[in-house]
Amino acid sequence: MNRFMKGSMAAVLSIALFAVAGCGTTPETKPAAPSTGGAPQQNADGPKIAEIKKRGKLVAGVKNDVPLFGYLDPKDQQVKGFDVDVAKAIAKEIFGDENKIELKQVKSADRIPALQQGDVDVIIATMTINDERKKQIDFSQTYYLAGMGLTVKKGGGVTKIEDLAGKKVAAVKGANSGPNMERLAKEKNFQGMTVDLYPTYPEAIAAMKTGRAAAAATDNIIGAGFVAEDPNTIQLLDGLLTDEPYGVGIKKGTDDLLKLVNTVVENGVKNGEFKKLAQKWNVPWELK
Amino acid sequence: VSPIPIADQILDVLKVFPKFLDGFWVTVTASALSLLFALAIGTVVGVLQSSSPRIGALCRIYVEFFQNTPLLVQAFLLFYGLPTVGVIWSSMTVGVVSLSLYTGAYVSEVVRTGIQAIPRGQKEAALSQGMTYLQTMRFVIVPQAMRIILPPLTNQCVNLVKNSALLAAIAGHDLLYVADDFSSQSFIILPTYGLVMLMYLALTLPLSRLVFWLEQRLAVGH
Repeated sequence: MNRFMKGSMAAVLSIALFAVAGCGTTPETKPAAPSTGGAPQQNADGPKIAEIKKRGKLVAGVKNDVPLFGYLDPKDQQVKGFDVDVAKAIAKEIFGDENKIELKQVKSADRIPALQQGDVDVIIATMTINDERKKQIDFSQTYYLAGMGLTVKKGGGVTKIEDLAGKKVAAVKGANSGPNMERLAKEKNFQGMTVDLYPTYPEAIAAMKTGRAAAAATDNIIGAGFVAEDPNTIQLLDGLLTDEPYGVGIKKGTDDLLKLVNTVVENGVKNGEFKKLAQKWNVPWELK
Repeated sequence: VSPIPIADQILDVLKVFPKFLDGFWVTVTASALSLLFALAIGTVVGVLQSSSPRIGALCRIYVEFFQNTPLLVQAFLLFYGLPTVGVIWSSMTVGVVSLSLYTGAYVSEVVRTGIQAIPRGQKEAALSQGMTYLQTMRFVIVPQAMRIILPPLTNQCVNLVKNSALLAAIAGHDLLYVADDFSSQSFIILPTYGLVMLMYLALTLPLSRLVFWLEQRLAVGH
């Protein structure tokens, strides 16, 4: 048994070494290929980026069930969306090729463990930057600003939150939007708004569409998903009622990667690339 | 498992007890109104079932339809379906209408079997004395049938109160709705639904006791 273990470990090690050596000699590293001399720690890339380059692809954790951000397209079985395009922008910065990427699907609860265990290099999965998470992982600058928004019927007479005085607003049980709407009604001092809670998002949207509620209060990206299905009758009102800044999640202690991702995010926001992505995916762009 | 001690959880629930009381009154109102309509529908349909064959057939269709489809589906049909043809009823109206029609079907069966339990000779005797069909029912059959009808009728009343929890699924702001809202925000589950259960019991237990008492009174006259 012991001998077998030793033997197989040796085999694995030699394969791994061979793979690493193989990677080093392939001409894949187009932009400033420095790691041919055999001293990988001494070049311009930090250790994490060097590791990614050796592997030959960026491993990004994305959602596969959030419409417009990270979802599995049933037509071609590809994961697509705004978040996926941001991941590709990072791969392009590293490799000069946005297709050198592996997408791994993550659920909300798996996002931080996946980073910490090293299953993924970056998490781009509608993850809100907050202090609790900052204790466990690092975040890039905000790459997308989400928040609570109101979805209304086109021409229904509701153009701002104050118009909901004396009316009903649909929200989903257990989501933050119900309590947030009640708090905002108090803060903005308008009277008689009732929050009706529904078990699911489709039901809350249906209540708004059928006129039972004057608006549906949800995360704006969820509202945008429903608007994309039925753009002729419903619309998302401009402006956010709460702020949910999304950041790229990165394992603590990999500052080289964090710096690179921040460059991508800052440039994408500054030069309007990300705004174009938002338009491509029909999601509201609120980051100024 | 919630890290909050159970005693603190119970205190947190009791702090918002007025909210639960609001929901309780919605449940009481919906149940009382539905009970009234269900008893009226059930009595009329139950009595008419043994009148003419044509009316009887219509009554059968009603009973079979509402007894054999889920109450929640009936409510969703009214709640989400009717607006597509321009009719928007409030959650309360949808709740009361569907509960009344559903329970009314069951009540009518209770009434019908109660009437059928009275020997046929009594009906024939009353009719031969020149009583109309309705007079026969009113003065001869129904007073005797009441004793047979009451116990199963109690079950239907209690079922109606329990079924009123369907309001929670159509934003009805009833007792269960308030509990769902509170527990999904606070993650206090056990004390919330425990309290709600006690509040439902506070409605259903007196109801069954009341009918038990009525039963005893009727038995005296027998």
